[in-house]
Amino acid sequence: MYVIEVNNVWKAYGKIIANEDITMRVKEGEIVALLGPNGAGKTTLVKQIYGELTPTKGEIRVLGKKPTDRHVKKFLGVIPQECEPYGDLTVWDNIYYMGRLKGASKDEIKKRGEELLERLDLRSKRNTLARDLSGGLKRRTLIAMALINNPKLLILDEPTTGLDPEARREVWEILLNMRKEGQSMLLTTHYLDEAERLADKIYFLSRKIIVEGTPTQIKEKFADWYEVIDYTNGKVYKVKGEEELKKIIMTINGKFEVRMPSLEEIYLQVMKDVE
Amino acid sequence: MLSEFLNLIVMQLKMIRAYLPVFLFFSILFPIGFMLVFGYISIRSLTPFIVAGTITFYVSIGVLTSVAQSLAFERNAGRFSLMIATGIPREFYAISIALSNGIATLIMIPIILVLGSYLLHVEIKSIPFLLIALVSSLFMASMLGMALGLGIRNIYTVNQYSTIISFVLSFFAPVYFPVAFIPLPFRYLTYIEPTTYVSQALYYAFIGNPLSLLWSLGIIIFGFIFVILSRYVIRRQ
Repeated sequence: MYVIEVNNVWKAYGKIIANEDITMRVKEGEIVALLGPNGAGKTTLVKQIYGELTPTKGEIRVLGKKPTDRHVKKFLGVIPQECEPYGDLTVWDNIYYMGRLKGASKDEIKKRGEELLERLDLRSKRNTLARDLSGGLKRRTLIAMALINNPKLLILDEPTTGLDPEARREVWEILLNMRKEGQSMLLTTHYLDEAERLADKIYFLSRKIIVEGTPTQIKEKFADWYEVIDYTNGKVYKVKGEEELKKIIMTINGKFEVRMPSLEEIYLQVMKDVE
Repeated sequence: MLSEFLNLIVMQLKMIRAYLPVFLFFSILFPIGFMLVFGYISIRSLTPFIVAGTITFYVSIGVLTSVAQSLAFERNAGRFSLMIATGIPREFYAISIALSNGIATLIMIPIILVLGSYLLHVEIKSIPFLLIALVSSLFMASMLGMALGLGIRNIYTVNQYSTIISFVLSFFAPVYFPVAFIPLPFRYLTYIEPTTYVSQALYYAFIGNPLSLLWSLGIIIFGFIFVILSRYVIRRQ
């Protein structure tokens, strides 16, 4: 079953086209990453998926219904781009009121909220004002706010932008744990390593979908060269095709390393071709 | 929906604690200063205008400016997106911010009235007229703040314009004296300033004159004009 279905969606602001004929799917229990440079239309697409914007053309279905349906939103957990928890409320109040706004009962919030504080390692910060938290803790508070209603689908718009490497890893760990539990997720990012680490499926987006597939499929499709590092003399060879690779390896007398292009290199190449 | 709206209001009121020192300054020390300075240099029969003017200024700064700036800040912090994703309509969220600011201001207005009575001996002849004038003023100022906060995209521009507008509406309108003091034809210009209506409605409520209701009607009309403007701005987004 698909939790998100996007069918031929176009979004235009006057003459500017932000999304062009986008079709994509997110299956239940799957993490899908939208990858693209700034201004690629990722946030515009995500905003249409959680119902802040409406498509100019095309159709979006979230959990089988229109994204603007208020009842659907009660089953979503969303962290919008550059969003912060309420600085003048404590961590607990942020979680509590978000739960109330999503229609959860006080008892449900208490039970689930305590679990989340424990799971996200926020218990010691329970009564701290959100404005006094570090970037990583603020993001964890937002994740707790998004999860308080036990959502069927989690939407994260650039969840680690602006975080230091340690805080990024913390957020990754949380998301990976949620993946193990079968949480469906849609995330946008411009970090390649993030998409590669977290996503089951990736869409390269630059106004329209350029490439789609699992990280392995994408690598297999676009990685048509190898990098060979000869440790005896430090030389680096870039070769195309397996036959060429074999030839080079046969000439090396000593240790060597063969590397396929990273997702980042493929992405840069694909985006360059688009331009 | 009602329960969600009430939770939004409680949430907003809870956050007001964060700027309590500024709030108390504007509620107590600021009115004392204004009433002492203007009260002792004005003629006795016009002292109700000093209290009416101080409340008008307070409504202008406390509601208009703070609603506009709060909304701009909330939008800048991505919280409108957060609320929409939660299923709370944009209008609801904006109104909850406007209302909580209005309620907080309404709670503090009795302090100005007590100070006015103590320092300038201004008594209230009609409490119903006064309540109508106050509630309609808070509604109007909230809606103007909402139109400004949502209509201007840049947070810094909102901060500047809301401050300028609230000061212009307080000091370039007859809020501390009768409209009749303004020579014609400039008097007509003051009728396009909502604060003129606020101050006159309050003044007539103090002296128990039913003309207060007529001025309050003007405030309500302004309020609805700003509601229409805000709705237009929200839809355009």
